[in-house]
Amino acid sequence: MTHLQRRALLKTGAALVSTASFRPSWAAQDPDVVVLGAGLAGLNAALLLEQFGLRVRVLEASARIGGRLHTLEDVPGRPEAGGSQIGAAYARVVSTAQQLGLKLETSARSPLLKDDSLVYFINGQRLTRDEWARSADNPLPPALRGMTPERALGRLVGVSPLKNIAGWADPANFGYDVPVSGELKTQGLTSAALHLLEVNNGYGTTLADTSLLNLYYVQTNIGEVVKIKGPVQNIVGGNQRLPEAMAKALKGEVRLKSRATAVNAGAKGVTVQCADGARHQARFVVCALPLPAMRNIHFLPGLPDRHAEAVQQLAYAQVTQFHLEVVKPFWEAEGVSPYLWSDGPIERIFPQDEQGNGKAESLTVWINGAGTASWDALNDTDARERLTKELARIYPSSHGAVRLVRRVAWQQSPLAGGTWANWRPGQISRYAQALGVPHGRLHFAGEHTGRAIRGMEAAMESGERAATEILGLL
Amino acid sequence: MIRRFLCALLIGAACYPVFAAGANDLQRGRIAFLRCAACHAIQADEPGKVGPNLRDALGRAAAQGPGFTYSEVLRKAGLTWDDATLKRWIQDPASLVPGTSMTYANTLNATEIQALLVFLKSQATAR
Repeated sequence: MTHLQRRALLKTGAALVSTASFRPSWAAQDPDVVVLGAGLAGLNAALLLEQFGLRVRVLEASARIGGRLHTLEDVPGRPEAGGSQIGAAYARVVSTAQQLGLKLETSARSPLLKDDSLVYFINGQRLTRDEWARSADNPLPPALRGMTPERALGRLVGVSPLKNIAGWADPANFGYDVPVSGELKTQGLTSAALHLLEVNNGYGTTLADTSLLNLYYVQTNIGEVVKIKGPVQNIVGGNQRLPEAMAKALKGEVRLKSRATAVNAGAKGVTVQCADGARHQARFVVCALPLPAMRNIHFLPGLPDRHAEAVQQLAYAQVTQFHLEVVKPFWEAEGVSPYLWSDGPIERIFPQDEQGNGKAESLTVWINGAGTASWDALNDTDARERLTKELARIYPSSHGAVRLVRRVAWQQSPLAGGTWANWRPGQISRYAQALGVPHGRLHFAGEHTGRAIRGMEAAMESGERAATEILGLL
Repeated sequence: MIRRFLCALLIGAACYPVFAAGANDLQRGRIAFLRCAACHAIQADEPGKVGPNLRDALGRAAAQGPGFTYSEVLRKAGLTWDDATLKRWIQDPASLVPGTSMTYANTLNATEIQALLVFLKSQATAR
């Protein structure tokens, strides 16, 4: 062996040792990171990890990319069943969409969605906004009678004391993590007013299980979002095009219908066992699943107590939607808008007017919280029958003028368990610090682990955090 | 193509494996900058984002540069982006300048913030 040959061999050997030290038992085809969940959080983590040269594989339990971004292609007007409005402050969503060549457009502002055209159907009576504001049956405090009860609730709890967007998860503010019902007790509201404030509450099923701190977080979030000037946008072709484009931009595979059942972490790596029998090994795992989906995964070693408890206990918002194709714009003959707020079984209706020209192509019936249960208990035939009947109570000429195209009940999907983390009183103080903390080789993402802007942006932010955690370890 | 574009935009350099690069401050700072990159450009020719381009921000008076509309509170804060001020800012912008339009919840530790400053300085135009 010549001197040069020996040097070459030593060099190769050093390279092998170097490689071995990074991938002790890794086959060439194994990824560095397995990401669970092909929603915005998981895909953003995957993209950022790949930018730094890591090999990533994404496992998605369903047959669809996007998670809680879901554009309903088969419904006229193509409504979003999940994340819908992209504010100017949604920096990660906007910049990623732009970098992937997607076009954003200003969301059309339908004349049908004007506040003063909102129809109220309360105590079985249909009223215009002005009629409702003047109605003797309106139990809200006089200054709040011209607004919807959920907006009134925001006013009644007062201005958020949070000094910054991260303040919701700051122990200094945990004193606010109490039922909003207690806060309202001092305000002399009637039981009728309290009942009305509970209807359509998106942040709890009752005022007693709605956290004041969570409402402050929502309020601070709105304040932060409007600071950044710019239009509310949507992605041309539907918001689901974003996660699809993110998945396409990955070098690594996004494997659909791959539902993880067990995640076993050892000293050298992690094995993910899937329901289809496949096993995936990696150095790290990013679990970007909503907590209800994690309930069906066995983690070994088990998650820390507080995290494991949160997986079981953290509430998720319940939203049931019915998407109705408009066969005939029945409301025009009645001289009112289809835009509705009600204390009855059909809680709200949003017209889908994609062009913003006042011609709704479909209507979204939107039911929140406690109101979802009575609908979710019905089979499709019974739900359609009830919907037809209830709609006709409000709009007599609606009979035969709409066709039910889709029914979505997020809480019924075992892969979602609801629309978003809906912190109950005491849950922020008990769980917010525990969620998102790495557990050995497991890292966590998902909107429930976001710290700043909520919703889609929180999902993106959490994926970014999980990616930087892993990159920081290498 | 898209991937390459993303890399150039987000990390200001070609993709390269962290394994080979080693964990030096510059690399750690490059990783930490992922937490900034959605809002802040770092290349001179990058399109504008939600926040201002950071390429030449270091050492300068805060909120005085061209090409971005800063919040009034930041313009009037009289800050200079020296290391100490930047560290406080990154840790909690709203505490340093109440009412700022920078919406950020910090998750970087002191070492990562220090590395971030190293990276930002490495990207600055020579002057």
